[in-house]
Amino acid sequence: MNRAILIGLTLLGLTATAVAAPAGLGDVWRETGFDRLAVQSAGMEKSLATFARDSLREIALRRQIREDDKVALTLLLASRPGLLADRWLIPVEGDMLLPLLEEVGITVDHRTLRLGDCLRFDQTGQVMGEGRALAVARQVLLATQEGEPIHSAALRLFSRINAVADLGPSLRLIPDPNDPEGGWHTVEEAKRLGIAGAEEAGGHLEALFDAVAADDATAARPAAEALVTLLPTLPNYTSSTRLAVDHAYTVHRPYFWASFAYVVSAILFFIALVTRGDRWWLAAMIVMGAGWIIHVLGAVARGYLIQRMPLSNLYEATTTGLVFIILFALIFEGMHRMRVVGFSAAALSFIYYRWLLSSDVYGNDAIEPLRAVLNSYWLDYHVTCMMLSYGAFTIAFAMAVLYLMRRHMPRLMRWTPSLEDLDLYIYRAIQFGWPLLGIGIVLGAVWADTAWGRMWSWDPKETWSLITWLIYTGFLHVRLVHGWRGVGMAWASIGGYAAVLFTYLGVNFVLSGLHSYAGNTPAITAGEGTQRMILWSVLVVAALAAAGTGAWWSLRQGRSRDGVEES
Amino acid sequence: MIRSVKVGVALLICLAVASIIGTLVESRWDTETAQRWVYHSLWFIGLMALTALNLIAATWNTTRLTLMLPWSRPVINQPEAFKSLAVSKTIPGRGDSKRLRQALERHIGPVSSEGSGMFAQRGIFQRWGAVITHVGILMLLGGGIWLSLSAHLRGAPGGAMLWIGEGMTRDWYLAPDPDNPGRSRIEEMPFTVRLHDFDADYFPNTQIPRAFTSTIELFPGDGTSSFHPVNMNVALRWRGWKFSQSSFAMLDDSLGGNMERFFGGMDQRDYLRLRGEGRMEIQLTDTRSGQPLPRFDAAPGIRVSIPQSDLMFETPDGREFRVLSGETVVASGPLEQESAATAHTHSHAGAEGWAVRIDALHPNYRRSATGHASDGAEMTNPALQWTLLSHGGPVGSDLAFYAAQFREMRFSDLPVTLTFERYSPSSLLEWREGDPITIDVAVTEVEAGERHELEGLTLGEVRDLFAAAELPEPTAEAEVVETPSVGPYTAAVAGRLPAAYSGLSVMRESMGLRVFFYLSFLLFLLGPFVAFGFTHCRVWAWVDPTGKRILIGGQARGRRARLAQLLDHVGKDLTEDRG
Repeated sequence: MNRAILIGLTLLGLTATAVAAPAGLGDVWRETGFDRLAVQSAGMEKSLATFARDSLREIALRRQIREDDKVALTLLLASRPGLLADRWLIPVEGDMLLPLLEEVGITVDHRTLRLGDCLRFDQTGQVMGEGRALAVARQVLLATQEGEPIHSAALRLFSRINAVADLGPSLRLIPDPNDPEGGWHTVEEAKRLGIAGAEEAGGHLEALFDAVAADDATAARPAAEALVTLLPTLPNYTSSTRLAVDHAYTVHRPYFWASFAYVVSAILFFIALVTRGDRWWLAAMIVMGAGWIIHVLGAVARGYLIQRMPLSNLYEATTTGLVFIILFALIFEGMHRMRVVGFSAAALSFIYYRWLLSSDVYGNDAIEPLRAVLNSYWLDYHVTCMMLSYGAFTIAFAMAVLYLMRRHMPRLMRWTPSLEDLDLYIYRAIQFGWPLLGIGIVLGAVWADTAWGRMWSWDPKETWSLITWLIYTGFLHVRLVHGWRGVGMAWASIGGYAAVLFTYLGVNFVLSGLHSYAGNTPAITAGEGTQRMILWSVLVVAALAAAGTGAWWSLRQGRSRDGVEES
Repeated sequence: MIRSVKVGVALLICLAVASIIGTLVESRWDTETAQRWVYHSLWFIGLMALTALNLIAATWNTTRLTLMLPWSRPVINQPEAFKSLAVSKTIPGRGDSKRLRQALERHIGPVSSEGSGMFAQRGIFQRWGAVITHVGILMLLGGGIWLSLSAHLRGAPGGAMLWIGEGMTRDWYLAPDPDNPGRSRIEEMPFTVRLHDFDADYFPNTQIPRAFTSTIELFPGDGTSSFHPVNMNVALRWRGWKFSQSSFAMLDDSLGGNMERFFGGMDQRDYLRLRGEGRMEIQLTDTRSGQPLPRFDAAPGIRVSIPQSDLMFETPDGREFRVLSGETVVASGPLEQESAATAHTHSHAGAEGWAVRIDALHPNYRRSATGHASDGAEMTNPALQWTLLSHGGPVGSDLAFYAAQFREMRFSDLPVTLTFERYSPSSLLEWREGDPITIDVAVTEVEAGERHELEGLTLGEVRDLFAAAELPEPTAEAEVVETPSVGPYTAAVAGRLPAAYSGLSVMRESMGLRVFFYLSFLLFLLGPFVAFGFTHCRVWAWVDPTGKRILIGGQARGRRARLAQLLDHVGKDLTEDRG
């Protein structure tokens, strides 16, 4: 009874606290729906919440704005950036610029610059000129050549600072009344063009900017409500459904929560592996299944927003590939309760997300328009096949690693399947992936023929996919014809997987060619990316297909013990 | 040895290693070098040929065995032999040959017998999977050898480009010269190409291209012509020729010096005219709704597609227009001309008494570590050194860059900003450092925001901000065109837009070779499905003459579980009948 009273009082206290706390600007956006208003940016309409997130990523690193109300910060930077002159906001990447900045008296704190050192502001808080840091970046750009590391660093700094200056002019809230596919206008442009509603919108927006500058949620609310009422009535405004989906995708971060579910399920699978307990296995399956559903919802949302399958860059290809792989893992585990497959898939999926999130370039999940060269339905078929094949080879790799560990540390690895089983899994996985790789290569050739009139041009990506195919063809032949198995096969699988990694990642970062569009934004120098790639990629890409082949195998074959038959 | 699998695998590894070398060569040097040294070299072709020979030998052997399979009926009459089979089982009890034959025929296939032994097999088609795949790969190898050899002898087929400006006509293109690597030679076409329009569609308010389309007219020389679009991602195939949209260049400030020299050298006066005049910007209005359509560019004698519609627009003489649906004219009328008034801004606040002086033009501005600008004869990164003057003397100096990415840069804190707009002669073919040059700039007052256009400045000249040319006299009224408007559209010239050059990749194509490759793809993909989708099972049975048992066993390539299942069915049929 006392405990119940105590719990009840605690809950009551918490509720009262929540109710009594004054509403902040974030509450205003949420309650009025202001952050669901449309902004046209980078050629696409997105919600203000998404625009704020994407814009701030162009300016600062995640860690620098983690605690901020993104919408409020964006509005402030767009309207009165001078009020943030003392804010440590602009990151300096690399060490090369630090001496130059310090030479002109700029203080750098944890590789971050004050906004006031980057831009000069007038009394109203508007940008009126470049600051010392921008001047240094400009000088470096003039004095160095493209390709030099310091040039890249200066270009990034230059871009980030200019992104602040460009934020106001990029706040395009007013659609063109005459052209549904045309460019939207800023409020000022719209007023100049005499677009109906622009004057009124301008008034409300100014009031909102004042309220944001003063951090006054009470004053911000009526302005926000007025804009939410006015703007959607303008001709050619974005549909509320699209904005709602966009907003939900940004705010709820389905991929993040899916990865969280995967790491929890990986822990549960590991416990199930060690204890052989079915309850732990069931819990792991439930959690992984829930994560997968969230993952699928995220992929579907992204696909809806971009009106295509999300496969056009490294981020999309990998995250979409994981949907297939976790599905296979669920099916396989549901049928055979191997545990090791679920553990591998879940653990490596989580590792993958950590890798993506650790890179501000390749973890940039901003939705951008599809480049003209990729604008073809062949993209979906070709990339899907390639991703499935890479996933299958990842399974083979994971099983090969387990095989070698089991062989050399039998006591420690006694919880894994037998050597014979692992050997068979390797073989089956490659059997599954090899024809898919062939199909993917052929589809790529057909696409090239349709688009550019030539099927094969020895592009590095094309060539490396062929190299991968040649290696696995050799593998299958020696296995099928000579019955080769065991340690040799395990190492051959690992070697083949090195080719897969280089095909998927190495070509994009190290070699040039038609397929060098892995990143969402201009790439950082190869050196910065390669280190992360080496550290993470072996573990990360293995998550792509931790159980794919197992499901196929189990559906087709059952627990066969000998994969070679004699004529 | 030639048909040895080990040799085959070794050859595959050699091909892989050679390909790796090729990618590294391409990364280190360029595509042409990689093709010359690796992919189109005789040693690489030889490697492919050896692989093909090995494949032929292996495939021949496999095919021979596969062909014989339906007639291969190796009946076993020794019970000991069943121990070596992958799966075998003993069915105790009275052996009934008749029922056994029926069960085998039901679950396996036609039965052949000899003595006490029987044999049946099914799924022979699976064995064709490897043959089909190998034939497909052989075809691909053959095609690859043929193309590489052709490239080795005649030069790589790729790299041929047809650069053509809007409105221009051409019957030749530039192809890599195999005798002079890095250089091009002119190749003639047996037909003429005219570029009517190049349209680069960008995502709104971005420089991200959404689509590129060239509208070309092809004249095969028989008095006919046809219009064709060439889109990014959809190559045009026409009478054995392939055109794909590979590149483009807008003739505006973004045009680099190299391209300017290239076009100027290729087309000379035609280029200068296109560069100088640009294209008309057309505003089409739908008179039914009163709504204007998105603007587009056009030129006399050119047919262009109207954005967001299936209609075409043309103006034969720049005075009248026609809108076409296919070849049907749906609207026509006079093309209203743009106003010739040019606005000049005046400001009498703040900037009174100011003047600018262009002190120097740096053709290629680079600030080195010592702080000196490096000049050169090439107009690679033009920059102006200019000074702002007042009645009291010089106010300050600054640099202004021509290149778009540096155009907003400022070095000094002056009350005006100067933007380097144009220089003349605009063609680099005609200018050398030291030659007379005139410069157009725009000076903007920082506080007031007023903009002053100053045209025709020369080096060293001092120009007062208010000494710009007087406002021009109003132009004469546009000529009245007597042809009335017909149809639901009116058109007006809203301004001028820069013209463009379209870069089309050109290739000859053999339809036969294309069909050959697609057939090889089909076989290459079909083979694995046949090999993995079917199960070749061979089942032997032996009836003990004493009647105590029946032995059944079999082999199935990689399908033991399926085989075991089939044998279980056979056994069940026998025991159920008895029971």
